[in-house]
Amino acid sequence: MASEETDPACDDEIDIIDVEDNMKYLKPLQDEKERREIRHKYRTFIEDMERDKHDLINPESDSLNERLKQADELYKPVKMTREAALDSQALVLIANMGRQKAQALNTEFVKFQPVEFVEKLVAKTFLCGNVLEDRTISTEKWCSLGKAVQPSFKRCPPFRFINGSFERGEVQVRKERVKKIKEKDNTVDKATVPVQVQRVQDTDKMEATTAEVERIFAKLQECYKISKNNPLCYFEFVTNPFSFGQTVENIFYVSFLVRDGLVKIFLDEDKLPVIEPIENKEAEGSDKSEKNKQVIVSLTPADWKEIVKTFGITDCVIPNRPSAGVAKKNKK
Amino acid sequence: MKRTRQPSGKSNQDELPSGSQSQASQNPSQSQATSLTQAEKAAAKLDQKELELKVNDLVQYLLIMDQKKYPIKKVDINKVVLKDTSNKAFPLVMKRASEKLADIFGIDVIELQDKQKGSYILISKYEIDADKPNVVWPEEDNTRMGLLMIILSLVFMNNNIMQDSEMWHTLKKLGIDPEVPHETFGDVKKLITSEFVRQGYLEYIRQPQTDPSIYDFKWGQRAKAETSKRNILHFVSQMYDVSDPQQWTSQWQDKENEEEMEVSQANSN
Repeated sequence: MASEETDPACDDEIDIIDVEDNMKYLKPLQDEKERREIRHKYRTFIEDMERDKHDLINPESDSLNERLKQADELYKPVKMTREAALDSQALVLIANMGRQKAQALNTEFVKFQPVEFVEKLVAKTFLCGNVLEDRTISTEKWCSLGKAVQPSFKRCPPFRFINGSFERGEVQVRKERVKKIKEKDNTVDKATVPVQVQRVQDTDKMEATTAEVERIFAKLQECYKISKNNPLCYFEFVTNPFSFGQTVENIFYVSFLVRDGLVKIFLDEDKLPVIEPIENKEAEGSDKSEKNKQVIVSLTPADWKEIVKTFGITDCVIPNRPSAGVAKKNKK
Repeated sequence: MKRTRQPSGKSNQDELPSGSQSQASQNPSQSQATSLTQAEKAAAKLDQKELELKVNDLVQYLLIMDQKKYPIKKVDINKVVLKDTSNKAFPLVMKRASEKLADIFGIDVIELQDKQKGSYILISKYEIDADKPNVVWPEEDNTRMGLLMIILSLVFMNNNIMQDSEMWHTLKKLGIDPEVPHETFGDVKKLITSEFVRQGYLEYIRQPQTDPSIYDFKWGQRAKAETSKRNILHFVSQMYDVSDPQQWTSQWQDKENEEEMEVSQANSN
């Protein structure tokens, strides 16, 4: 109620759009001390209400109305949200109590009082002449009350087995089932996850590259035999006169062979690079004595054309990769 | 509440007294084909023996599952009793099982309403004779029913709703404290707010937007089915030694309304 009264006023003020005016609303208008005071008043107000709840919800008394007026008074100096929130809290409390007050309003000839009922009940059923000490009621008393009220319920009677007519054992079956399911779940989780991860890393790319490297190494050994163990011209081996892309790929794969110490590339007497597979025994010795050199090979399509021309390459030594071939050639 | 049996074409082998319903034809495919519902069609696929087995299984299942007084779910019935049988046979098997329970055991099968639709509870058709109780209940059952009766009375007399704080405050007069394990009932808070609620005797509903939470107690659907406002009012009147329960005007009116509802429902059935 309190908030409704002042809301329209606030709206009017905000309607006047002025930067400076707006700034006024962003900055705390009120002194922090003043605000603290308002909040304190609200809190004591709410506390008091809760304390006096019994009196406030008594239909006979008018004190709830007075509290409402007090809340309206308290709201007058409120300017900031935090205090306004407290105001709504108080208002909710008043509304709630109002509802309870309405509920408690006695419109009946005889009003039912729960505590009174329970006391009568104790006197009637649980108390057999002697005073109920420390308010404990024995199991037997509860039992006899229960027996007395059972006829009020249309409960299905308890169900008993006649000896031998049914076989029990349901409980066991259920427990086993639950356990099995749980175990299965666990094992499936543990088993599947790592397997999947490993596969993702290993397959496809790595295997395809390895296979390709091995294919090229086999080809190199074959050519080496044909040339009667003479080193082969690097460019003639690697270059594919029909595809720049395939040429680059071949260079890439050959570099793996060099890294693994299976092949060596060196310059012959004409200062041209030649390639030669390394025999196993030789490899062991050379690995230790000679230091590996890293070379970056740069190759442009123009270079590639020139190489094809200069070396008079008309056919490729290394056949196209089965899947690549023509498509790749066209692209490049 | 007695349901009349529709001629399903399968009931002719029913060993139960079926009275005027015996016009059920011997061969469903001839005379009844047009009036068969989907459920009956599904059941027609079962052969006679199989259907009879399922019905008997369901009767046994319902009786056993009722021991805990938790509502029995349709899903569980389909899973445990009907299993591989088409679920569409459920309505018919359930109907036949209900008839058997009613005729042989004197038990009504009642489907719960609203949010609990698809759950069933078993209710005795007959009230126990208070003067000559012919059923002996286990001790635990008796003690619990005593407590339940008090709670249901409190809720009913309090305009069918009672806040938890008031409930606990009142029950403390009987030496029941939700925070203290009880000599007879053990964890009495759990019994009242969980067990009785699960069994459908009580509803324990949190009031929206309350912090700390405030709960309300109401009657559950089983309480409405198993007992009546008349019984409760009678019990309360006994405690007050009043001969005329009409002195509680609104409660009396409430009871009257309930009875009127029941009469009109019975007529419409």
